[in-house]
Amino acid sequence: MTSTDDPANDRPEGIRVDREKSPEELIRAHQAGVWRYLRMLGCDASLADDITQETFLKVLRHDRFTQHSDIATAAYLRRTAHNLLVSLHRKGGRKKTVFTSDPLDEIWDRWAGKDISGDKAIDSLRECMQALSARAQLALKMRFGDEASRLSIAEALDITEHGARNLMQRAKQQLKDCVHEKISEQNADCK
Amino acid sequence: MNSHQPNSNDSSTFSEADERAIDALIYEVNKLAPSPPDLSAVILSELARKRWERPNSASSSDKNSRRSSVAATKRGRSWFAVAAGVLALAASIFLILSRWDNFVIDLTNIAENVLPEVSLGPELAADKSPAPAPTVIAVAPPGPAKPMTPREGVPLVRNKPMDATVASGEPVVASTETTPSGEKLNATHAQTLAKFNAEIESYWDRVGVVAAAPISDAELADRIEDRFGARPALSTGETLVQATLVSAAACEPLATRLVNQLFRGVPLAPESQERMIAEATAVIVQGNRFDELISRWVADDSLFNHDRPEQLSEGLATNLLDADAACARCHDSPVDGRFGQEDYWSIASLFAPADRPALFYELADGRQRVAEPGIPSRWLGNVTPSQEAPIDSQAGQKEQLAKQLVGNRVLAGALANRIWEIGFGAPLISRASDPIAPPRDDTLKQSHAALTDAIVNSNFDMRFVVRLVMASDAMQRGQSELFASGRWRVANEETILRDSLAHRTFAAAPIKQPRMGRDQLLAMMGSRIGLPPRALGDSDTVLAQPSIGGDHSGSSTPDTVVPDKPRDDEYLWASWVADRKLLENSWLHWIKDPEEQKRHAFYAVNMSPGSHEDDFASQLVSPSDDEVVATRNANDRLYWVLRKSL
Repeated sequence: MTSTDDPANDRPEGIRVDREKSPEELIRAHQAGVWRYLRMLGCDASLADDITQETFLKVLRHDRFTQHSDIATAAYLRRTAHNLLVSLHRKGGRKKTVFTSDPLDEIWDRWAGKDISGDKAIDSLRECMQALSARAQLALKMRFGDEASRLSIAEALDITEHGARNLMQRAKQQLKDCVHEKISEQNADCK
Repeated sequence: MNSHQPNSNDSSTFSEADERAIDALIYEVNKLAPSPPDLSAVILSELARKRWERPNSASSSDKNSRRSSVAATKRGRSWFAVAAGVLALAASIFLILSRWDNFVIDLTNIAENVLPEVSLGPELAADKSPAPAPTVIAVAPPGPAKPMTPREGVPLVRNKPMDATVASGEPVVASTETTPSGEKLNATHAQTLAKFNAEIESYWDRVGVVAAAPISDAELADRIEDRFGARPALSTGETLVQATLVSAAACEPLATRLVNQLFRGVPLAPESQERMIAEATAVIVQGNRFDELISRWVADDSLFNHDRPEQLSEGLATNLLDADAACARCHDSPVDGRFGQEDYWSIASLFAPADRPALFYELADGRQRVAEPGIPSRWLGNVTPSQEAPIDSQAGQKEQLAKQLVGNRVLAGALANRIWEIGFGAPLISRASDPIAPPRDDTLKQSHAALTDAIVNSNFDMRFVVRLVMASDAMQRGQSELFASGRWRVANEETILRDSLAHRTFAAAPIKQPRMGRDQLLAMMGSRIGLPPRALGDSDTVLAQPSIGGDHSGSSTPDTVVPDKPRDDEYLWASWVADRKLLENSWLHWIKDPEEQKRHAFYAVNMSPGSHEDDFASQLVSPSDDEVVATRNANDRLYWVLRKSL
């Protein structure tokens, strides 16, 4: 919806304004993105569940929260989730999660771009994995699908353990470049 | 200048953060990790439930068994709560409609007594969907295990900490004091104090600390004198706090402390400080507007040394606006996105001498930029651009900056933190970049907001606000039993951590910390982590041998130490034990390069690494450290030693 469509909208022409969502719509639209963002920061699934819920409760109970746009709301939710995770770590309540910082939403920008749910990052990653060599795909599948040890992977591929590690690192680097390229193209399309 | 973060477009670098991100995505693609769950039903149910309860419900009096509200909901109570709510709604609508007149009267009666906070407005206002009518208004039972919080607007005069008042089970009633110094002021003071105390107590509740026992009036008088510089001068009918800051002589020590706080690290012209203290004393004792005084100071070039404008502007922004701007000198702040490098240098150039050539700064990639004078709106809390016509001249912009400080809420918030720092040794809300800071929580922000409101609403009357802080619940707390009794010497890490949390969250008074020089601290640290004793001076009192036993239980001391004398290094080691867990998750660990990490550790304590200091980090690598984490641990210790030795 643009400013010309909504007479109540007095924003400058060309500025896109999304219709304000109800709490339920807001949660459905953004929960996947927040959850995935927390997972990217190093949370396990259980912690990501908890903090995702706390994030929405905190934001929806805030009387000054205004929905400017989906992208702005998504960034605000991620920032809230990040702060909750920081507070949790400062309390020293969680010992098992290894917390990775995300100073300027860089992680999300690199891996998901303007996509608020992260679905495009997942789709892009699936496509990019198809472009890997068969050996690299097998190594990653064993590691991330079966939780195989590096030794098992090395034996399956008839290489050394060190070689298996290098193979997976190179594969991840290729995936990173591939996903970033796709995300950049998508971001360019959105402009 | 080297960037401390890997370039995301550089294919040869793969940061730890990227690795975690891609691992999370690959797990999801390979189905080993679950896809994002649909949490909407749980969240909406919790949202509905929270609307009709106190924010800090007394549902659990046992803090040890407290679970997060979300975790409790996950056990399946949410569906039951929704069903119960629907039935209750239907029943209450029927009841209300059949007894409408009596319902209104009952509401009025309840409203006049002490009620738990039932928030009806804000959440519903934010929610555009139709709100259900209120069902049951819960009334707190008498003789509560937890202190009751009065509804906002009901004045509560409390001269003693809450425990003593409420434990008797008597209803808390409002009272106004009728001393000649101003009935209206007392009522306002009491109202504001009650709100602030409630917020601080909510914070303690949230972080799970138990406040220490209250101190006596005599101890409070000592504490006020020690921290604010003037002993209360009591006469008949006055409370302790009302008897403070009643004369210029009594206000001058406060003015001195306040000026020191506000201009810490700011290069002042000779004799400026004396003049500022005199002016501040006059404004405080008369109860005039302190914001206008600050505004005049900022606009007055003669007060400052302009040789290093960036140091001047950074100091002013840090102390007057709570700007977490130190990082922004070299790059956009990675901790707080409001503080960018361009803004940092824009405000610095406002304070550059008029006859100086343009101010240059270096970007993270080495390119040079000219700083354009300007006022960063976000630093002043302005979310919309100024409606005033743009001012071109540097002098004009600086005057505009000074003008924008009057009545400014960000300034009020910074003053709240500076006053709190005078009273407690640490700001109420620490900067986000402070690695050793109290836990952040909404309740702490609300406490800060309450104090900020008091400053704004009192027209920046510092005497009013300082009295508020003196009378606060937090000011009247004694030391934690563990540290007061000395049992920390044989306590384990978990116990020390728990009790030090009480200190850090203002729920207990800290012990007067011993001060040690840097070399002594290095020796202390070295002896604890298994390094050979360092050679120190003749007057050195630091133990040269480590205690036996990592947790100090059953530790023996050498004959050279007097057994009954508290050993400074023991306390400081306990302090390190409490602080190091926080450092493990600090921004120092975002920096991967060890040399950069060390350089940032020095910068964070306003020091430049020299040839001598460069040796420090290497001295702090414990032989028992794992090789991978050795440097990280050494830099954590380095930061801590540098900070504690200042």
